[in-house]
Amino acid sequence: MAKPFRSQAASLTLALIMAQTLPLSAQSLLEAAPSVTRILPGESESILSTRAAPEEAAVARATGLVPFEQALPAYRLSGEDDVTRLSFNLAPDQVASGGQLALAYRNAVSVLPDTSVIDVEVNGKAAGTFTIASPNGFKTEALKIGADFLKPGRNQVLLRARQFHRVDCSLAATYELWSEIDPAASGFMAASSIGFRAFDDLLTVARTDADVTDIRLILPRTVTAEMLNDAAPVLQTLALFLNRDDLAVTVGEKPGTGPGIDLYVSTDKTRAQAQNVDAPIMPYGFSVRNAGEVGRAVVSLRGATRAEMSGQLLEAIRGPLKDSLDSGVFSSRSGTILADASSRYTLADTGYETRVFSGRLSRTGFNMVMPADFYPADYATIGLKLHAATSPGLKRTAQFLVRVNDLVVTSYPFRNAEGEQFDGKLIELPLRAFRPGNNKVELLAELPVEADEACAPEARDDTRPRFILLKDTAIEIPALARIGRLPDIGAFAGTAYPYADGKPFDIFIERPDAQSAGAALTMLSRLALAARNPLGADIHLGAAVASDDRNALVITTQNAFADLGKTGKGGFPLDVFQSNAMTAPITDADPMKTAAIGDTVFVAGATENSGDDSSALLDAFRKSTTRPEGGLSVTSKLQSWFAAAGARFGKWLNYQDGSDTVATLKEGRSLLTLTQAPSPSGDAVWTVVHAGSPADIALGVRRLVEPAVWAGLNGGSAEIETASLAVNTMPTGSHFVAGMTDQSLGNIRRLAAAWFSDNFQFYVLLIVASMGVFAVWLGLAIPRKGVRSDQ
Amino acid sequence: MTCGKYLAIPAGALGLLLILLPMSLQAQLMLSFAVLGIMFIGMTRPDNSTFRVITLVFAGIIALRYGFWRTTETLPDITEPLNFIPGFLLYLAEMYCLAMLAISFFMVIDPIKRKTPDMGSAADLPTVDVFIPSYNEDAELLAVTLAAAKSMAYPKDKLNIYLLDDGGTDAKRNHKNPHISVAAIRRHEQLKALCAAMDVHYHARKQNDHAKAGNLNEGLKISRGELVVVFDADHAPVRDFLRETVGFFREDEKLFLVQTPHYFLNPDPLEKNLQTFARMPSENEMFYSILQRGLDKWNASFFCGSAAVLRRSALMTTDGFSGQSITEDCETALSLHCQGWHSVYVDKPLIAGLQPETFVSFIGQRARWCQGMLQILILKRPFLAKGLTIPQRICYAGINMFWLFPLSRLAFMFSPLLYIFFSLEIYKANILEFASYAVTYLISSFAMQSYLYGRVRWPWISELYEYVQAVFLFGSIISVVRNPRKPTFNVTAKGQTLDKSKLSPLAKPYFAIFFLLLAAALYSGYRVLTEPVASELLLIVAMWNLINLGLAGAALGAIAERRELRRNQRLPVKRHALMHIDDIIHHVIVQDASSGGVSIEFVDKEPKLDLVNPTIAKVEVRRGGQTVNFNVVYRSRRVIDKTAICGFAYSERTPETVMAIAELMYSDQSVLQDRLVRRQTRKNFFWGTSRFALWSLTESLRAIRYSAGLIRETVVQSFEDAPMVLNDNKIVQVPLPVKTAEPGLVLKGEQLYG
Repeated sequence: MAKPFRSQAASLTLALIMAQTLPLSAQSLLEAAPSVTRILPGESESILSTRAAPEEAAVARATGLVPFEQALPAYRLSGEDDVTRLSFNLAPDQVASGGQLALAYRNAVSVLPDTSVIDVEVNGKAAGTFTIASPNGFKTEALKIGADFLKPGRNQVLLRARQFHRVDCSLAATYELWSEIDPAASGFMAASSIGFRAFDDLLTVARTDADVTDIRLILPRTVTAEMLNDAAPVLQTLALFLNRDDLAVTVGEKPGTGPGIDLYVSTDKTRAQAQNVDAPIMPYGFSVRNAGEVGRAVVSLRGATRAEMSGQLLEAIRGPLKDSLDSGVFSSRSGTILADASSRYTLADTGYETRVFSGRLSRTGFNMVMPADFYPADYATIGLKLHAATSPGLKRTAQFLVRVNDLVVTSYPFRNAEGEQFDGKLIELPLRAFRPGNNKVELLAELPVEADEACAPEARDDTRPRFILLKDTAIEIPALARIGRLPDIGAFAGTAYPYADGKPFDIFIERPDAQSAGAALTMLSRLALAARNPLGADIHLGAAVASDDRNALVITTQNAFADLGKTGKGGFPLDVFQSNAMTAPITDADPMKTAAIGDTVFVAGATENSGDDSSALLDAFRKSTTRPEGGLSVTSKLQSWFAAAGARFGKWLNYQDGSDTVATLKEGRSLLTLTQAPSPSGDAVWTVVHAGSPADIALGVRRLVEPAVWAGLNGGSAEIETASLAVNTMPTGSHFVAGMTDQSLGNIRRLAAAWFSDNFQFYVLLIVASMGVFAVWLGLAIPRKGVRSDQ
Repeated sequence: MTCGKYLAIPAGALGLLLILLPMSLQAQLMLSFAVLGIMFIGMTRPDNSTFRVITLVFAGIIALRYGFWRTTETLPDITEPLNFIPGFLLYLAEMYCLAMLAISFFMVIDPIKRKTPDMGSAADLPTVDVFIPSYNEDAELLAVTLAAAKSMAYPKDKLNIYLLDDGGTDAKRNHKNPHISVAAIRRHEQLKALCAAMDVHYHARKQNDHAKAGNLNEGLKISRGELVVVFDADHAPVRDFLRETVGFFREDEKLFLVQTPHYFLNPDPLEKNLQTFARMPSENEMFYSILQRGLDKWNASFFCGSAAVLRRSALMTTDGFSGQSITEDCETALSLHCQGWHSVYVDKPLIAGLQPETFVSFIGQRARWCQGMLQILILKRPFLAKGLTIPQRICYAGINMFWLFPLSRLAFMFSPLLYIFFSLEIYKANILEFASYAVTYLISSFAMQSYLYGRVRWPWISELYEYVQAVFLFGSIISVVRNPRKPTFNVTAKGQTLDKSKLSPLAKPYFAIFFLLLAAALYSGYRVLTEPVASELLLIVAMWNLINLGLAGAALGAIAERRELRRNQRLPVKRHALMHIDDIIHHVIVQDASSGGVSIEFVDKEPKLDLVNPTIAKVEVRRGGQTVNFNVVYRSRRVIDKTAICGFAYSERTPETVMAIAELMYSDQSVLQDRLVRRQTRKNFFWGTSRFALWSLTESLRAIRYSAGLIRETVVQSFEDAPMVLNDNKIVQVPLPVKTAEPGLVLKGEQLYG
């Protein structure tokens, strides 16, 4: 897996060179950017709301806490046996003196204390175990880590939580088991804080109170597009170097406060343009140093020209940045498969290590990034070659399930109660369940035994294994139908499609204020991380202008764009949005009811938007007037059964299995919308991020790039609700083709199969017509063949 | 039409490409509905060739789709040999069925109905030699066949009849075993006397080389007729046989064969034991009423060993009848088709014969057909044979490959057990896939079966016949595949009687299979009820096994043999006659006739008839101004629908009597035709399935009752037939039937060629 990342480093260099040669443009910046410190609700809120007091965090930072690099979702350990992998960076002199691993955690009340434990490994060595016993608030466990456990650079920490329920032995109850780590108060407590002396020290930068890694681009009030374009390559390089999913870029005249990075980029020309600005004079070259405030770094790049800056950046990439880039963004990401067509991957590629499982519900998950131009349909299946074994004594309800994007797509019953061994048992996963970009894949094994019925904790034998899932378990990707189809914000978020192909594209900041610029740069850095490459962005301040076959990302706060979206080819109907699986209730999303879908209990507080008021009233009326089941006549029962069966069949026929919860959005309720449409010239693609005001766009983009939100983007467009900041996605109405690189017969055949599957009425008509013509001709010809029967 | 093909062929190719696209289940299901709809529309006009082809093409789409899906999606992983090996065998069985379906569609795409051509003037008619090969059939049976042949409407000077006796050859008469030699000498003398009395030729060759084919070739050597007619010993032709067939040779100089159907007077064991003979079309009617006509379209109708006219000059080009296989008929036709000769099939019953009565002889006959056809498949490789047209290759390959059905049938019977008992997953599919592909294919199959063959085949009867044969033919196939030259000609036993009902000696494996399937059905029911996550596959397999159990249950009825006391098969002739009793003439209707006697209905007042001192009467039948007389003796009386029917036996059986019998029974072809048509009525699928389910229940219980010896039957007294008396008043000594135990598969006793 390492080889592709090496080649990515080369393309990164090329992209940087290209970025430095972009045309220049200038426009005034209207206002300075305020610092955004709002705490966002959502998935992170449960942690934030009960987090240790800010004073504690401040103390921790003061005493040299090196934070973990991972973003929020990585800090949750759920189920009976879960693993998470974290990393932190140390300078050589910090390694020598050792330190303590601080883990501030809390757990669910249902976790049985004493026997539930978290095992800690540092760089593959067992560093300690502690019992899980902090249901009432965060408690910090400090494990002393000697120098022999540590190494300079990135250090890996593996946390394995084995959790048992206090009273309930049902499969569903395993979803009530969780522990979570507070990222702000956890990390490596080095003996000394060394500040920011080298680029690698940037990897230790802490997050803000909003749980984001703050990068603040310092620009003069008279900012020009040229200045932004100068800064874009550096910013993207920094994003790739940090490899953090929670970057937030702000733009301002003055340095930021709190933990973070202030970024200064200037050429002689832009410095000359920035007259009367009270800015510190940065040294020539690419450098890093401490800011005035503890925990804040200054990164500056200064050259005579953009070309010179580009050279300096390249030199850094090949020099001091290289090792951390290789061990960071270019390494195989833990828990992620970057899937390509006709390829084979194993669970080991996701970082999974074989382990014996003794509980009731084994859960293993990973993210599979499918190619951006992949057409999901039923022309093939993804093969899961299961290498596993079950132990004797399982009940006959034991089964293996695969969930893709929160839907159970297949199940395989463990029928042999005497135990079974699977040496590459093929389980087929429908391609339609996947989508371009990020896909959440979960492998679940429901493993009940008779003893679970009794549920006597004292009689439980946790040492007796029930299941083993080997890391050799393989995922085989078939040949895929490849065609770029837009709108598809899943491909946009997962792979930066269509901006990642090396071709330069435009970023239009329609209203050139600091917040809009910050939003644009945040999007750009997030896209660079998705693409694992700096993108060839050309930033323009002002109204978007279509140019031939140049794609564009438009950051707009003008309402006109909403109108454009509504009337454009891509279509952006504001009144019909699909609830997002992350925030909308997904308890009804899966038609297959098993214990293994019970983790939806964590989506607390989300409510289903069940349509317009009249339909809701009608529904309520029906419910209130429905006779109880027992009072219905046989005819009524049959009618309702057939009606339900017909409805289910209709949904199935329209490929709406479980994912058809439709939310209704009323005009003006969106904080931000993200949509894609053909450019006005029709030859390119515009991705439009729209909000009502600069403040909204800053807030909306911050919400949009939250790791959990970004990873779950899919469909044709997305919106963030103003009131709740809930993210809704809308299915694509109709696609337009954005590009097709593979024109082989095989690909065309797969594409035909995919398209006809989605439009089977044409398929049926075409076959009936073509075969009908053939049959009629044959019917006229046959009597004239052989012994003539027409005489 | 020429221009049309430039549009139609690309359209067909496009359609084929689209059908083979790997589509979603939703698309497949919608396509199924659409295709089934068009198929059913096509079925509304069965007599229109274009509609018929449309129906077949769209049924073919469903089958093709199923085959493609079955091949690409449902096979077990090769890395799981326990699943893969049986799964692949089942797959092969299904692919065989699909191939046979395709071939059968091709065969029956446009069946031909021939019109009888004019024979021409009597002076120009060709000379005809009738060959009646015989092995060890009794003289009474042969006498009727000879008489019927002699009665055929044809100039006497151009018609020669030969009894080719292989039971009285020099080799047999000089056999070192004195029992065999004495029996052969006696038979030789008897038949010679019979032939002399009947004024036909008798010939017995020196050796018994090449069985029936060798015997017929010997006939060719001793005769000179331009046309050769072959009748099995029990196949009595109707008077118009030559009138219906000879004219075709005048129209086509390259014609070597005119084949006619084999019509049977008696039921086969399944018809007898399931008591369907009077109502249900016989098994062979599908072949003779549909398939041979379909083959005729492609100039591929073939010789069936009897009831056919062949051109001598054509036979000479292949040195006579071929004898490499034990089905010389088909082999001969293949050789002549390869030489470019033509064949014609006339779909009119023109002979009446006998089928094997017992299950043992039935299986023996089918084993010979099966082995012979596979010998041709292996040794002659018809698909690659030089000289055949492509359609002929397809047709011959199809009719030969058909006999591999026991392999597929047994695969279908036993496959579900692997899942029910051992949970081997040999067919990978979920319920939606099964519904989209397999169920639509099954619907299409049943609909097409009804559309193409519904007139001559009730639902589930094909499956039943296949199963009862498959159990024993499996071994025959293995034997012929291991050594294609090994099988030898076994003569089919016919004309047997059963004194009392009993289980066939071959019953054991059928019981074993039935109880195995019953156990599987019970166990699958237990699994469905007790397994918390009963899989869709289990439900499908349990249902499949239940159908198999139904087949096995009905098959038990076939091997629980009902008694058969009737020596002579009746033919309902409904013919006016005069009966002379004590010088009083009564107008009567001869309701039916057999070679033992007649059933008489008195038109006027019924005279007083004495059973103790049996009344003797003379029956006078007239045709074309000539009278035929024979004497009868009163034997019985019964009332059917308030009509008294009196049974009379022939008081003596002289050559004249036999000629009269032939006149009575075989002078009118429409008698056979009417009886055939009366049974050919369509039964819908649901009626057929209910009927079959009832059989499964009642017949399996009857078989179990037989196995426990719980048979209540009264003793029936019957009269011996009158002895055969020749012109010189010499009584033909008919050997008494040897009452031995039920013969095994190597058949002995009264046997016939055919």
